[in-house]
Amino acid sequence: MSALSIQAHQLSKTFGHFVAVKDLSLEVQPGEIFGFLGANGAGKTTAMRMLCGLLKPSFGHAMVAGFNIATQTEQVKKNIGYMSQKFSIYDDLTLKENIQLFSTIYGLKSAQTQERMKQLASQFGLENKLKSLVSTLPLGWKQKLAFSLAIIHQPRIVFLDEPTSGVDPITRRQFWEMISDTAKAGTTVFVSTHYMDEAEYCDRVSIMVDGQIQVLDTPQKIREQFSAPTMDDVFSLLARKKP
Amino acid sequence: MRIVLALLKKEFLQIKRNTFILRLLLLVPILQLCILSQAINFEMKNLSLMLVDLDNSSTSQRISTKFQASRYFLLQEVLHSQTPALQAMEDNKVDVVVVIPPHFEKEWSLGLSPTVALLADAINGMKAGLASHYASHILMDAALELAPTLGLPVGNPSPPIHTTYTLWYNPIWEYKTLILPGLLAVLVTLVSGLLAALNIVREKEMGTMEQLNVSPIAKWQFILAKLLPFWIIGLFEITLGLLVIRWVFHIPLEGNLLLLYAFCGIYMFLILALGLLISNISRTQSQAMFVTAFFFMLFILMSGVFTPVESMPPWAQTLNKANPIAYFVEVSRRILLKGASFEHLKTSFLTVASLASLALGLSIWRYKKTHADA
Repeated sequence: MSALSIQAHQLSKTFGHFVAVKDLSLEVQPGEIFGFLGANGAGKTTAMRMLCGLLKPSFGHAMVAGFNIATQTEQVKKNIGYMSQKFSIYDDLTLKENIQLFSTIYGLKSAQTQERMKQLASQFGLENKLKSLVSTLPLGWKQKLAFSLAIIHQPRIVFLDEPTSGVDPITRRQFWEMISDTAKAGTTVFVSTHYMDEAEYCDRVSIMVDGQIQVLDTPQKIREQFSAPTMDDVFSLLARKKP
Repeated sequence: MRIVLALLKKEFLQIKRNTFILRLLLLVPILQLCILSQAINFEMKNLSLMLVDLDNSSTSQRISTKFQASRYFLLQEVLHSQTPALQAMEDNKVDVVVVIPPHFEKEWSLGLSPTVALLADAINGMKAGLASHYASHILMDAALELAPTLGLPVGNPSPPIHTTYTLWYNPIWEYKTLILPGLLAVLVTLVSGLLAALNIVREKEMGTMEQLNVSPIAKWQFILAKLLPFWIIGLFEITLGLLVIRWVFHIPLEGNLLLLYAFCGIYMFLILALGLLISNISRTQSQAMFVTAFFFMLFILMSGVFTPVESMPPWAQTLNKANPIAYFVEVSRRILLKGASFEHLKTSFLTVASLASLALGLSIWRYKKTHADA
């Protein structure tokens, strides 16, 4: 068994005649922050949902946390966290109730839950909000909560699907600090975004266009390869190349 | 089990915080039972009747006394001319007109068979049928009773076979008695079935379903945690309904209530499994609403709450074998009105139990944490 966090080989997904993801192959090292870049509709969410065991791949195979995503879905699910693009936390429960629910689901004992709750609350500045209903919080807070829930069980890998879309620049920056802290604590972060500037926070990035990965390397090497000053320019070049 | 408990806690917290659902749960059953049972009324007592006595004899007067004594009829007036009676029927003021012809007593005492005319307003066919049936029974009784006083041999004008009739379990043919157990079925089915279906679809819409699907929750944990709250709510609704039936309508609850609850328990699993199936195939709450409304409306109208199953064509009766509400209506009526025992209801119990396991199996099989399509 490989020590890699994610290992995908020619992973593909078709819906009827539409090819959403084509021949996705990548490897992600433990503790790495992997940026999964692409425009809206490029197939990022579909690829992530396959890696999380929410969607069956049409072709190819992948190992996540050492388990096969097609045959060992439940083991995969135990070892990952997932924050979906759409906010998907119970907003008629309080923060505390949400945390208790999800930590129980992931098998944390109540003492562990208490400890984890304290730890995450102080880390993300949620202490004063624990007893508020989620629906009363602004989006930025909700996103922070969603992220804390995704890593409540200290998973080996956390998948974040556009966690920063729709939040203000300050919260976005805070969010990337949270991501970097999480990676330092040993959790691999697989994060998708359509903000090209966020690529600079990642160890390595891939850029996906129309279901296919066009380029995969460190941000610096990619910029050099395309002799472009920013990732935004790289993306424009890639998008223009498109037939 | 800890996971199931945590999920159950979450469900109840959500129900508790949703004031709309709480009001729905408490008010709908009481309102439905009160409004529908008053509105849908096929009672066969107090039918208004006019007697046109063109004979004016002691026999015709005794016939009129007979009608007066009947609890099915309300003798409005005894007239001596046909025209005002027919006018009254035209004006919807009377349901039945009985006309005793001139020389009635004389002809009868001579051994001829005089004809009494019975006119019923058949705009409501069922009412007219029953009214004329009761009226002719009263006339037969009268004939039998009065024959000796006219010096006629008993059995001459009366039919060779004399039938007596008694309405068992519901002596005055009170429609409420019959319809309330049926309404109870409708209520429990609609409220809990719909709530269960909507609840799961809501999780899909909110995206929380995906959050659960990406977690290591086992299928059975999820399904159990979804079924149990609505199962409890269903039984609570039944209790509420029974209290209303007993204390508001004063209808005696004859049978073994434990037996009724046992049946309800099994029945609820069937309904909830159907709700779960519906939520599996719907993506939005409005879709789930529509599918539920379609099927449940069909189930309800064919269940025998409003029209007797026995008068449906054979194919419809066959279709009804898969209609959960039909079983509930039958069983609840038989337990509540007749005090039927388990022995009598064994078939219904077994059928509903097998339908429930079938539906439950199907919905567990259909519920997938990993999807093949979007």
